[in-house]
Amino acid sequence: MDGLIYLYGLIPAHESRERTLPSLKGFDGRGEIYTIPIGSITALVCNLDPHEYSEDSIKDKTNNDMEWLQEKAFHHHETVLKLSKMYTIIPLKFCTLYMNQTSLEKTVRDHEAKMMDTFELLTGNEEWNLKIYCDDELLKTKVSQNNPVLEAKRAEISELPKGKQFFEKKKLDKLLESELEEEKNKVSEKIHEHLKEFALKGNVKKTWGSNVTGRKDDMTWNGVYLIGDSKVEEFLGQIQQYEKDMKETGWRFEASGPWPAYHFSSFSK
Amino acid sequence: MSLRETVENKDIALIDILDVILDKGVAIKADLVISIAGVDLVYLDLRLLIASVESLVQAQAGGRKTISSDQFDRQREELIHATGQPDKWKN
Repeated sequence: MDGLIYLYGLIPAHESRERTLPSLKGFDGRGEIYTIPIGSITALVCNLDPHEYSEDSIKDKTNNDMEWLQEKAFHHHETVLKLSKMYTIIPLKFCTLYMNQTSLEKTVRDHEAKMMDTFELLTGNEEWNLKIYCDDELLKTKVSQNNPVLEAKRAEISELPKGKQFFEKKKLDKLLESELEEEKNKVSEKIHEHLKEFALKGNVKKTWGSNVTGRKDDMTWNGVYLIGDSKVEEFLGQIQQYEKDMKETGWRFEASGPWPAYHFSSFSK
Repeated sequence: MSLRETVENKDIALIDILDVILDKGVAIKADLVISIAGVDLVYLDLRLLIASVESLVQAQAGGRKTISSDQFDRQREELIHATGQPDKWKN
């Protein structure tokens, strides 16, 4: 019976012929990663036992076994990262599994032309991630002091009788919160637009709450950029400059990369 | 060292990895075993994962407590050493 196939990534066949795949352990820690040539594309895969890795058991593990998830997520990441240093790679999502080799081959053939375009796009370019964090309290003070809308509101409130002031001040707090959010977005967006000048492409991702990041400050921006090799240093230098200029006001910049180009390998369109 | 090398060698948090390999990795949906039932595992998981990652963050925060108690012990020993006082905790 056919076993399951775990797909890590796809590379151009000629690169696979030029550079031998190093010995790498597969997803189950026992088997080895190997190549399957499919026309002008080569798939980097390993085999998995269909009983051990059934749909149900994977769902169960990812939901209930945090240690397993952490270990396997790191395995996927490290493997694809290693491969991305050797080859132009289209990285696949965590746990991309095929029933058998035939179904993998068919899928690759169906998307071959777009995959070849993607290889072309990725050649000589790298994916970088920037997360921007902000200390709300610090920024709040600044927004509160320099905001004409809030100033006007405050002046208006001071004219009111005491009893009314209480409720109006509550409203003012709400207004401050929304002005703060707006300010954070405005600043982050401006930075994003500026950084895009160094990049071929820049995408905005969803931000994560502090329950997930484990940080006290708030994630205000999560952006990914596809950048030409020669521009990376300049891009990071600009981020460093932002960090230097904005540290005092509570902003933090966390750049990471180069990542395998997960965000710029889409060929579903 | 170039900026690039500095950033490249920084430790990466699990959330950064999940953010990338789950949220935006390429999927060729039709043939994923996992989406056979018409459920896209990745989106399904992302929601559940937030809960898991949350508990991981908490577990790590718990781990830090242990470390800080070790640190406290070390600092105590250093203080004893610095003041030349005999160690009251040792018999």
